[in-house]
Amino acid sequence: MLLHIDPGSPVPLGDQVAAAARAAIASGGFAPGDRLPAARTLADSLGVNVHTVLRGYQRLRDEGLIELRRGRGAVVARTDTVSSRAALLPHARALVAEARSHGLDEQEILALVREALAEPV
Amino acid sequence: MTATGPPYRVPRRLVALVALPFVVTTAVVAAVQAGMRDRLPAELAVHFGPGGAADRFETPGRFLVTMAAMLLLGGAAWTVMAARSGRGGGSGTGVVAAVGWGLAAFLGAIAVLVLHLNAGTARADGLSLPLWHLGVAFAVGLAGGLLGYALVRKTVPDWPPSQDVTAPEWLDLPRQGRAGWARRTQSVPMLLGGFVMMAGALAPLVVSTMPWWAAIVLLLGGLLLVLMAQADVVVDRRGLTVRLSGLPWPRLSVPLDRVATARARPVNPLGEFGGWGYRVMPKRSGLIYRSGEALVVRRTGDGREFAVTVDDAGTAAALLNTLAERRPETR
Repeated sequence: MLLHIDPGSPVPLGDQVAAAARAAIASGGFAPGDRLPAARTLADSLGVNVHTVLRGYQRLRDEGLIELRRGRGAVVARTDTVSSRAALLPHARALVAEARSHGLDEQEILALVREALAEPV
Repeated sequence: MTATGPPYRVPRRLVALVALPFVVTTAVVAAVQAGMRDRLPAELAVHFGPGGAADRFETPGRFLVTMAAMLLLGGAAWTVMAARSGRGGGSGTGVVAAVGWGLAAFLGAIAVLVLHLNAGTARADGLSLPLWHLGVAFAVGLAGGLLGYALVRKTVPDWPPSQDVTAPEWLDLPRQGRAGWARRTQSVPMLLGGFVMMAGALAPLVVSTMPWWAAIVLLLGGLLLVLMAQADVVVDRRGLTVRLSGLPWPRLSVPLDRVATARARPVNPLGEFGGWGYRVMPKRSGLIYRSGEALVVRRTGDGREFAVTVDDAGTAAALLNTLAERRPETR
C-alpha cells in the first residue's frame, strides 16, 4: 500500500492516511479479507505517531471498508463491493459537498440521487 | 506493472536429459537382476535396520517392481517439476537436473549393492548391510550428479536464457511530504506446515511410545516455521526493509544509498534461488515464498540482487527508484 503524506498540508494526517488506504482498496490492490499493513509499521515508516495511523484506519472502519480487531489488525471488509465502494465514496462526498454549497438539504439531495437512479440505463 | 514476458519454452533436450537417468538406472537395475537371477534367494533382504541387520524381505520380482516404480514415478515427477521451473529460466535448472541424476544414481547404486549382497546366499535372514555400502552409494550418487551437471552444461549451452528485462519505473510524487509503501507477504504452505508440526507435538498424549523430547522438537520447529512464514516489506526514506512479521529481528535491508535500480519481475524459486525460504546464491539473495511477482533490487557496489516475493511489487519498485534518485533530499 502506497502512502504519501504531507505534514505541511491543511488536511489532517489521519485523513491523509485514510485517503491513501481507501485509494489502495479502490484500486483493487487489496482483496476482501486481505490485511492492511500494521499501524505500527506504517507509523514507523512515515515518521508519524501510531495513533495518527489508527485514526485513519478508524475512519475506514466507520465507512465499512475495513474491520479492526485487536490482535488481528486491519482487514479489508469481506464484501464483494468493497473496492467499488472505496472508489465511489469520495465522489459521493464531493456530490454532497457540492449540493450543500448550493444550499440543498438532505431530502433534496436524496431526491436528486433517486431521480438519477430512476433514469433508464 | 508486472513484467510478465512470454514464458520461455523449455528445450526438449533439457527435459530428456532430466528424465534420462531415471530410465537408464531402471534398465541397469533390471539387467543386473536378470544377470544374477539364478544366484538370488527366494526372498531378498530389502530393508535394513539402524544396526545394518536385514528387517524386511521381498521376492526378487517384487523388489524389481518396487524399484522400477520408485525410479520411474519419482523420475516423472522430477521431470515435470524441472520443466515447470525451467519455464521461467534461471541457472538453477541445471542444478535441478543434476540433483535428479544424483538421486537416480544413488538409488540405482543401492539397488545393485543390495542385489549383490543377496547373491549367492540361500537364505537372506542373517544378512546385514555394511556401512561402507552406503558410502559407496553416496559416492556414486555424487558422481552421477556431477556428470548430469556437466552434461546439461554441454548439451544445452545457451541455458539459461537471459531474463526478460523491463525498464525500471518511477513515481510522480509531490516533492514535499513523506512517502512509504508497506505490504505483508507470506507463505501459506509454510504456515500450514508449521501448524501441522505443532499439532503433531500433541501426539505423545495419544502415542505413548513417542519420546517427550520429540514433542518439544516438533513444537519448536513448528513455531519457527510459523514465525518465518510471514514478513512485512517496507519501502520508505530509509530504503527497503524486510522483517519477519511481529518480530523486531531478524531484518533484511537495502539502504537507499545502496539501491542501484529496483524493478518488479516474476522470479522462479527453483531456477534462480534453488528453492524457497531465505536464499543466498552467488549473484542474488532473497526471501522467496512463492514463484511469480517479486521486488528485485540491484545493489550498487557488488551488483548483487536482493529479491522478495510480494504483491504490488511494481509500486514498491517505482517508489524505491524515486526515493533513491531524490536521496539527498529524502534523507
